[in-house]
Amino acid sequence: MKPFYDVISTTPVMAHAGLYSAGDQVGLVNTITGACADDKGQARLHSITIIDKAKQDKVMDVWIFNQSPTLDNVDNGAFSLADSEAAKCLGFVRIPAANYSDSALNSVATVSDIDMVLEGYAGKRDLYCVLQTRDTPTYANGDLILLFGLEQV
Amino acid sequence: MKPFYKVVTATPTLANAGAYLANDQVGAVTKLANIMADSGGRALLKSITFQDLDYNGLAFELWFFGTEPTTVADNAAFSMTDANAAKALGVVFFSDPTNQNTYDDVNNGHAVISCVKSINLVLKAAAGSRDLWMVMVTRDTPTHTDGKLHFLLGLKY
Repeated sequence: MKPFYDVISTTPVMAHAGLYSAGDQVGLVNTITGACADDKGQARLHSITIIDKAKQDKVMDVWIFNQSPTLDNVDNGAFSLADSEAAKCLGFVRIPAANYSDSALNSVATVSDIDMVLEGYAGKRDLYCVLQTRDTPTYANGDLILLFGLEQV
Repeated sequence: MKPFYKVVTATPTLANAGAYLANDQVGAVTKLANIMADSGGRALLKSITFQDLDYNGLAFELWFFGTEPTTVADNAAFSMTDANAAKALGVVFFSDPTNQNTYDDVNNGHAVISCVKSINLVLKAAAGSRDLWMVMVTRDTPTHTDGKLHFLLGLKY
């Protein structure tokens, strides 16, 4: 059967944008809308691209969940969640600093060949993600766009 | 319907060919016409082979876009507005060791052939279009002539 690929984008809302500390959550919970082909369906994550309009080029972890997790803090607070919320986590992908490619004003990072299998929760086609910085970037709201390259199976 | 594969060839146009500085754009924005099988189609970029007939073999990056970006001219510092950067789909590095993929050079005395394999980057055309665009950005100081840079994009649909 022919595979079905899709690129799904999300733009984190950074209500407390500014200078972030290492370990901080960047934005809130983001929805990867329609990531799975059907309820409780599976998807194969091939690639993640981050468009960084602030050209910070900092290492970032992208945490992926099958249900929207309740986080302990808001944007620009330390990333923290209860064990019951962590149980919703399907995995994470690290965006290394070395993966950013610069233009004069902005940058783009891609991690490809990820090959992670994801599965939606019962009754849901969406997945969710949270960004956690591992460095000290400065962002304005809207500076980041994430693109998830998925194969729906 | 079974998946199928295709190799698409692209040759950037170098209107200001010659010596390039690090971070310069090499060539114009290259249109990958009808690279998708369908309007608004998607594909998995599996591999890129780069035929450098100028025999430079230096580090560069390839940016891919879902809609045509406005950037600078050939042989100028690579720059674009945030609105244009937002059209990007991803970037592929032709430089070891920052790329997680294999980077091989085979010097046959006339050209450098570089292969980046197992890329597995999902690409998507804009609604109503089968086209994508790409831009080459050098991170070194090559000397190029027009018509001597060829890319072979290996895609899975």
